[in-house]
Amino acid sequence: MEKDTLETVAHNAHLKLTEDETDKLHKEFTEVLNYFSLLDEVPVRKVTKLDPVGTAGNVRKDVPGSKINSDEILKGIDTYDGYVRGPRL
Amino acid sequence: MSSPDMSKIKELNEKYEMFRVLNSDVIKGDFLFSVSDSFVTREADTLCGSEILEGYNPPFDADSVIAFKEAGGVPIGKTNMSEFGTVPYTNGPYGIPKNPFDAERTCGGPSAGAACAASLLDIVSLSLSTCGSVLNSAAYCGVYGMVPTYGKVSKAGTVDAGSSVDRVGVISSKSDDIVKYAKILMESGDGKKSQIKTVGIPKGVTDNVSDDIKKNFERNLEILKSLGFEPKTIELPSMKYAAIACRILTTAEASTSMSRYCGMRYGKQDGDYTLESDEFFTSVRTEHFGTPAKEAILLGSYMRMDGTRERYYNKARMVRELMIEEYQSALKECDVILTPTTESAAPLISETSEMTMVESFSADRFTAPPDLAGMPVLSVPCGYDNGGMPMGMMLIANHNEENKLFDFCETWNKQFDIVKPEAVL
Amino acid sequence: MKIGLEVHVQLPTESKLFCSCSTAETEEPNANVCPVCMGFPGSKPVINEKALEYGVLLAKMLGCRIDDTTWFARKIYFYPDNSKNYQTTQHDRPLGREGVYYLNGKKPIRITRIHIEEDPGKTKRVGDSSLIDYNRSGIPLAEIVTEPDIATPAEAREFLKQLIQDIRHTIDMSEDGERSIRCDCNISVGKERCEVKNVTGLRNVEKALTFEAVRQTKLLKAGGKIVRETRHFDEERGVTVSVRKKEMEADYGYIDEPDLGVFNVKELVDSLDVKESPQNMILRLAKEYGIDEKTSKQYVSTSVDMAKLFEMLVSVADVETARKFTSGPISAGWRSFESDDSKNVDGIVSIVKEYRDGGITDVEGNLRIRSYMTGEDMDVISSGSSNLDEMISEFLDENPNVIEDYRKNDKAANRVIGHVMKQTGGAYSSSDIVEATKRLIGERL
Repeated sequence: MEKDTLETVAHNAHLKLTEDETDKLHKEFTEVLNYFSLLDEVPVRKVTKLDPVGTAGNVRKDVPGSKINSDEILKGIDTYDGYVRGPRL
Repeated sequence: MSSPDMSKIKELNEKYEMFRVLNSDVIKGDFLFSVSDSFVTREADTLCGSEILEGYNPPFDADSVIAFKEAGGVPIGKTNMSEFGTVPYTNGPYGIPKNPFDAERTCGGPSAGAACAASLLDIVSLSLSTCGSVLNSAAYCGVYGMVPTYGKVSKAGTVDAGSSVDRVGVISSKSDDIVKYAKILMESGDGKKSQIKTVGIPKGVTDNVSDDIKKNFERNLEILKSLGFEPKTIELPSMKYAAIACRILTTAEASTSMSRYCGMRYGKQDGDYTLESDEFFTSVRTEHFGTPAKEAILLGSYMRMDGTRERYYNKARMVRELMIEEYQSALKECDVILTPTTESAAPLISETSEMTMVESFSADRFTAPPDLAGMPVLSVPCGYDNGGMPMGMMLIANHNEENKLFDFCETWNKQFDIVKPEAVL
Repeated sequence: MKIGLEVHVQLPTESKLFCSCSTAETEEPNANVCPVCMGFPGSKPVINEKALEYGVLLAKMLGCRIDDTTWFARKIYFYPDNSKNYQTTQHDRPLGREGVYYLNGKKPIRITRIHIEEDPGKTKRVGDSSLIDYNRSGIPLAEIVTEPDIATPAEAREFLKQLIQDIRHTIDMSEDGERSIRCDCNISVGKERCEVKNVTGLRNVEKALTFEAVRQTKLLKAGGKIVRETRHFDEERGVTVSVRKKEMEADYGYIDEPDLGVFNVKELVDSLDVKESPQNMILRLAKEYGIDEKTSKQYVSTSVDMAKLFEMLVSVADVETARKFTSGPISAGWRSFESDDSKNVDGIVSIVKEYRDGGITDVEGNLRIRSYMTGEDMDVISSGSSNLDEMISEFLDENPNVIEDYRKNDKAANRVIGHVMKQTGGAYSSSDIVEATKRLIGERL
């Protein structure tokens, strides 16, 4: 991985790394990607499933109703006047 | 059964650090169980081994926790794990589970505390198998570990690392408990008994394993023969690719799942709201995520980025389907597949903290491929090395053939003398 | 000029897309929330089957190719209204692809794809920070993406108007303001295009596109180059503004969503039938019965049921009779009739049958229909209306150009209406005057 790629990835993932961390990770990831490159040997084939067994999606009837009260949901949340607090937009 | 001696358990926990938190109010019940910290529980908060989720105590239980409660189980606490199940070895911040057989040694990563607790206490442990973690940790701690087929056990209420890989599993020092509790989770009654005869041994399976593991495995093959089983060599050339693919998928999926932690709605909400949103998110995530989570997020994001997604994320999914084909083709020639569970007995904790990422990945060499393929697996304790450390071997059956594993479990247990760690309660 | 739209329509389900929280409007913030739509760790989504049904109906309405299976994906981007910082949407396998929508029944606007996704919550700027309401988080949306086949901002508006009317008809949506349409608008005057994101409502879409067209044209004329970028429409100032460049760089890092699984929609596709869209009905009536498109548009716009009644009357009598009565007393009395549960079309049909069989005159027929539909006393109507009719007929005799003008623009009727209202000084209700005018003009067309 190029170092500036690592920086872009960190930026998009909303993580800030120190110079040291970037250097260390860059080295680690280079080794990891080298190890992962073994997969290049595997021929391309069609992906037919999203998981090992091809789970068919469950559907639910369109009936509103909540088992949990909204108070209980908001209990652990930093709110103001019933709104969830957030950063500057 | 009588109420557990919580003060004794607490004492043991001081040394072995298997529980992050013990429930203060443990009532009487039919059996006791521990819950990995990635399962949502009402009795205690759920942190997934990460500071960023401190304070998270949602008003519902994971489905598997409910299943155990309804069967008369009583949860005694949340066990320690590696941060969000992202790395093979736990390293804090709430405690590093110490191996019951040697406190200088590790119990593994995502299922470390669960296996440790099962080994030291008379309980069954619920844990999420991430990249083979349930079997790994069970083998390191000298106990039984079992994971049913992907999709068989509801994951509602578990905090995913890799959504298409993770499965709920059980760990216990008693073989009949493993069978009993796995069945409760699967909501299946007593199925037909499944006789195993042929045991497939992948070619090269003892290459590059420790001497003790190799000798022990060969000895056990003789024991199996004497029990009437027929070992047969099979070819599983894609195992080495599958271990990598499992790690890629888990990391890629985990990096998306962990996007949600940003200082709002749950966990730490102590950021400076006057910061612009991108800065706010970055500051909270950087401050509160540990190194394992950060590494997984960065690596995982790269796996699914535009431009690299085909080479890693998509290729990993192709490898999954290839591996399943290989397993199923081999399982036409044999009833189950047998391999060692790990390359060596539990490493020293000091060694694990020096390991590079690639070195640490070798922990899942045998356990990750069947996890990727969603095959039902069972690890049984099968020997002790020169240092007295437990070793395990594992069986892989085809999708939905758990009964074959249950059958083997019973057969094995009848003739294996399990050694309990000295500290056991 | 090339314009393409990404239209977001809220689907009128009772519960949210991935959880059972209610979708009902509420004043209270964060009242309809649960672990799933709040993105709580450990929560898992389960899809609302009605949303899939609506999606299939819309895909069919747009003539899309629908594969047997469909699935969802995670689209990662960080924003306070996004409760998981990823949106569960569709990427590799949208519900429908390669459709077409005929603007005015003639111009094909190609539909690239239609897919289903969840709406994020709503943010509110407050002082130095923000407040978020997650009531909207998880509400199902259909996203319809067009190729850049639209030629002007006005055409974009007309496209949206017709599309929305058809959507409302296909999935039984009621007329509703806030549950409205949001568009991402892509426009290129030259070679490079710009995107104006998240524009709400038809008027704003036209305004935003018009501003962009002018901006881009000016820039090119002055020798400059258009930079491909994302812009935001400032409603108050009526201008588009560039957003920070870095928003463009973020890669969504899509992965498929294993928690939901794969949905086999073949059965749904085979079992659901799309009702004839209003646009199609307008064209068909004009063609089939040889009436003016203006007239069929007026019928369908008033009410599809009234247009259906017109067809019933054609089969009972003939086109001319059906048209006379429908354009006249039936149109005028429709609103009162519609709101009265005790009345039904049979009452009207039987009166027309009497006329057909020669039992009553057309004037009597008008009166009786009018009286049946509105409940007014026939005598009252008759004395009033005959005078009114005389007045209007007189005006039309003296101003035959009104008829010609009306053919081009129905606003020409206002000249008659205005004249009569002045003459009668409030003796008749405006709706009476409008009805009579339209009827009498209709008879002369």
